[in-house]
Amino acid sequence: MKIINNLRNFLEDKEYYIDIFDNKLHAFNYNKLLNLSDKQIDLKFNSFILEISGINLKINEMNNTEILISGTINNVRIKR
Amino acid sequence: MNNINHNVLIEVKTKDKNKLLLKMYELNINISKIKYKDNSIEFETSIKNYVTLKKYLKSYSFKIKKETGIYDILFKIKSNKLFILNLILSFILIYIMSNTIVSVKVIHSKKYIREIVNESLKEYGVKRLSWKKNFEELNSIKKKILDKYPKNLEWLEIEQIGMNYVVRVEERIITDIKEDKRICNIVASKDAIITDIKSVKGQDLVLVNDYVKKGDVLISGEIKYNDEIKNTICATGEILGEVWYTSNVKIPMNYKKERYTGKKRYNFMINDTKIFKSRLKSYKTKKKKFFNLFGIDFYLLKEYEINYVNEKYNEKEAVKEALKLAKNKINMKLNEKESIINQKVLKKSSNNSTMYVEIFTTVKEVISKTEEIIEEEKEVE
Repeated sequence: MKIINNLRNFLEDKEYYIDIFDNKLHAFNYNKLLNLSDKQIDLKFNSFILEISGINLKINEMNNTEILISGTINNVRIKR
Repeated sequence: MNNINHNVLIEVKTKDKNKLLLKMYELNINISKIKYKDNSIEFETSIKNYVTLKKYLKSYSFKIKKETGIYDILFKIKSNKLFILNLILSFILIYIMSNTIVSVKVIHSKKYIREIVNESLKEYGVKRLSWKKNFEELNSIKKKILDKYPKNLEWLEIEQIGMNYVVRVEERIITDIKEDKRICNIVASKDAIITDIKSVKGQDLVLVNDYVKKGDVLISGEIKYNDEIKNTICATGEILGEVWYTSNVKIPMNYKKERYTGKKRYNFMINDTKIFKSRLKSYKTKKKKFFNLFGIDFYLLKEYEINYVNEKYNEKEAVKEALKLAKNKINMKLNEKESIINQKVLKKSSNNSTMYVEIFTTVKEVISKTEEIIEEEKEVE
């Protein structure tokens, strides 16, 4: 998935990529993890902050450029 | 191997999992396959990251549960190396045994045919404990052997049965027809009543049921027409007749009879050698082949104990025994065409310990023999 996303970003020239599916959220090319708790996770992107709120939020995979979050996602907000 | 990522599965006990995750994020640790348990979390990361975690997060206890990827496979191979080695050796052994020939058996009644075929097979690598040959190689060897002995061998077949080769051979028989220039008659070797006439060459002088005496001409080598000898040949043929014999048999009335006691013992035999010493004094043995391994036969033996009891024949039993003895003695001299027709008791007498029986036997047997006629040179006056 990483290879496909990288290729897509390279071809489509995307800065970031956020994918929400099946009680999971995948974010690519985020800058920083600002906040981490069971109810709220905040991710900083270049031009905005992504606020994810819900119940029982957990990180499944995490590295410098992408993160996979699972749990009951109730609200996703972009804050500029 | 250094270029392949060495990943490990780590478990760490913590109550505040998110706090630990944030700390790991700050250290730029890439983690995947995170599993959340009651008081711990489990995740996969590289061995390099594990070292970093141990160095910078000393307050946490990171434990490697197992190695993942190719290192996991290598670890499993290392811990089961003995089993894997035995498995490989077993396959090699099975391969060797299924491709090895342990015996080569040539089937033919004549010894010299078996010998020449055996020697030729050894020359072409078909021998005990040799490697199995494929179909083309066997065909080629068969052809070479037949070409080597064109006058002796008609046909050759090599069949593989298990770990053995069975070679069947047919001999080439070249009949050298020589003209027989002798003059001979077929004459009777004994007094008899003719039962069968099989004449091939010559003039028959007798019929079935004729009574002939020893020396009588049965098939003549002189071919006559109107009492004139037209041709002389060597008569050939076979005549069977009924011959009478009288024999006197002496049977002792007391004899020792074998009796089974019911005791039984088991033993083993390898080829012709018994494994254990027999514990019974006198016994009879029954042998059963267990299996054959690399040309060695293994047998199971059952030994039945016998003892001898003194018995005495009554008259009827003694006569029966006498008839049996006389029959066996005559049968030993007969071939497959000949047989005993009838037996009769002519006279019997006995004293306390012995019975004397006179037996009359009629036997159907070959009574013809070839007699050459040697012409004497007559002086011409």
